[in-house]
Amino acid sequence: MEDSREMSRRSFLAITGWVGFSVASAIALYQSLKFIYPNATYEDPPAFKADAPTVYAVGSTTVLIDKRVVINHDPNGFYAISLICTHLGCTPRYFDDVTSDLVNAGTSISKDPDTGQQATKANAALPGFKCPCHGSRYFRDAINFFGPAPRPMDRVHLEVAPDGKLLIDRSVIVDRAFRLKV
Amino acid sequence: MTVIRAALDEMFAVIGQMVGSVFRHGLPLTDKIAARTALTNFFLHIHPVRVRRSWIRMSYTLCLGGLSFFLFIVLTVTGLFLMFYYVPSTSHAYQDMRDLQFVVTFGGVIRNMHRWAAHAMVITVWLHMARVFLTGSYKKPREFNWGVGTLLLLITLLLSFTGYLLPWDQLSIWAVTVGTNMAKYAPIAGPYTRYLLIGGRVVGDNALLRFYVLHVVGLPLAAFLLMVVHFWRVRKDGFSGGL
Amino acid sequence: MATEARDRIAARDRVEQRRRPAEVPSTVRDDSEDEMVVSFPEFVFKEFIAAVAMTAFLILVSVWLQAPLLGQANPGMTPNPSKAPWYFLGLQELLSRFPPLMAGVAFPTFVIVLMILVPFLDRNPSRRPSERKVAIILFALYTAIVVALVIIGTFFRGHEFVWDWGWVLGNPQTCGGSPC
Ligand code: HEM
Ligand code: FES
Repeated sequence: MEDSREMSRRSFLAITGWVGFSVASAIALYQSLKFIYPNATYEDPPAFKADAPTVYAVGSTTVLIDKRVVINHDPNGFYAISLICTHLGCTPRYFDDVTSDLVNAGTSISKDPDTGQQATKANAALPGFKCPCHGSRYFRDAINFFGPAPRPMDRVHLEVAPDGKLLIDRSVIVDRAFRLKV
Repeated sequence: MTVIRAALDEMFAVIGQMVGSVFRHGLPLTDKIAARTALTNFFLHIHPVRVRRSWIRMSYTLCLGGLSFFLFIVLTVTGLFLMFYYVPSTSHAYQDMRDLQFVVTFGGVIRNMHRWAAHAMVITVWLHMARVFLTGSYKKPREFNWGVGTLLLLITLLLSFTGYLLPWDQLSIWAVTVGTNMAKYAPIAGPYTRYLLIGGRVVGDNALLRFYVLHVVGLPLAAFLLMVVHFWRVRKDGFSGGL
Repeated sequence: MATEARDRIAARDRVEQRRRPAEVPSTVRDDSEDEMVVSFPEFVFKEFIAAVAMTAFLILVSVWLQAPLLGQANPGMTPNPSKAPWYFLGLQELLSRFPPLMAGVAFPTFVIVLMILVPFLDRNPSRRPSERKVAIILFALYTAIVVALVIIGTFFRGHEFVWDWGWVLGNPQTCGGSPC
């Protein structure tokens, strides 16, 4: 009788000990992960200023390669694209024609859902972006239409700063319908 | 005269003792001496003292495991050399690589050796695995060592991947951008994993430093430990021997 | 304490005894008659020769063949095409065809786990190639796929990673129109 009570007290202590050890280890592991998870980074700040809106002609596409941002000026306003391929993060490049080789090869290309434009045999060449890494392609308005990219490139916020220049904030992702009217 | 003789004798005796303390058994002229040498030497102890001729036929192991290990040593030595000139920061790294190539005596050769040995190691480790598979050497009792081997293959690839970022050229940054973005797609932990791995949102200074630390300390240490276990198991489980 | 350990060893030996006859790998060639040699210096010398040959080979290659170094890293300009080192090109090929969760995460994990499990999945006790046709064919298939993907990635993927029969002979890598 006394023996069995002795055993259970012992195993209770053992279990408590091991549980304590496991919990402490888990906390230590978590703290180690927290340690190597940077709280502050000294990267290029996400917000920056471009030129005044008047510099960008209506219908123009301007690639700010250092910032990996594209500014499109359409008749209904400005919008900015974060030039980061949504597949695995390479920087796509702008071309005046990203569709005619596909059209000529017989690949059917979907219609741009926003502009309604479509590359056809009659009008094969549409401008846009091609990604060098795995060949994703985007229309000029950043909508993906070919390759492994899963979604359109992000649109980011832009506004006119008090000094009259365009202020672009790459950390603020906006809706596809967003337009800045100046 | 006799004083000088005695002094000389004493000196030779000391030198003899010094040499004997290192090389205890003389040249391995007979099997017996050779066996005793192997038994008492730490580095030779990695092998069994006696083996069957059929186990060590070159046509069986093709020396692939041994060559993988040797390439690891070559990589350690050449890597050490490179570290004397290399600073892992985005403002220095690329210039340091150019210096190694154009300014440092034999710097280019050392860099090339490090690079090509890394490629060669991927090949030899892979072929070693193929040899082990094709001879069925992973079967009981060597299942565990096959598992250790798989981890070694993985670490070999990770070493190559982390090393690839260090020259900070156009190849580096894009291979790592793509590679770490892959982690982003992992369920739930994905984005955090990437942030943790490169220490930020873009591949920059933090990423370079992290990869450097992993490349020169973390992964080699892990690889070395696993190799020690791997070799220990090869000895304990015995060579699988010829078919 | 001591008796306990001895009991445990005895019990284990009994189990081993019972198991052994079934397990003797009768299919492996009996090598107990083979000549015994000392591993040092016989074997060590072979390894020494292999190591020296490898070193000589590496030095020769390194004198003649320059490791690549493109322009300094530039986050805004991705080289075209942008290729991983050859041993990752199979993965890159998969990434260009399948969704990343599948090609980049699920698939490699699956291969690694499968590899570790190989000794437990292969229930065939024989080590003779003639008796392991299925395993060898599967492995050959796996190897063929890996090698094919690497070759495709290296030689047949050109600008924007699209298929290009003439890639090796053809256009060099560019960074925004100019050489990298
Ligand atoms: C860093 C990489 C590796 C090193 C340095 C290494 C080294 C070695 C060495 C020196 C041997 C002795 C026999 C021989 O030379 O063939 C050996 C045997 C073995 N290796 Fe590895 N190895 C590595 C990777 C692997 C991999 C990737 C696998 C498989 C997944 C593996 C599985 C085995 C097994 C099962 C044996 C026992 C084979 C036998 O007894 O015939 N190793 N390894
Ligand atoms: S990163 Fe752009 S297609 Fe893969």
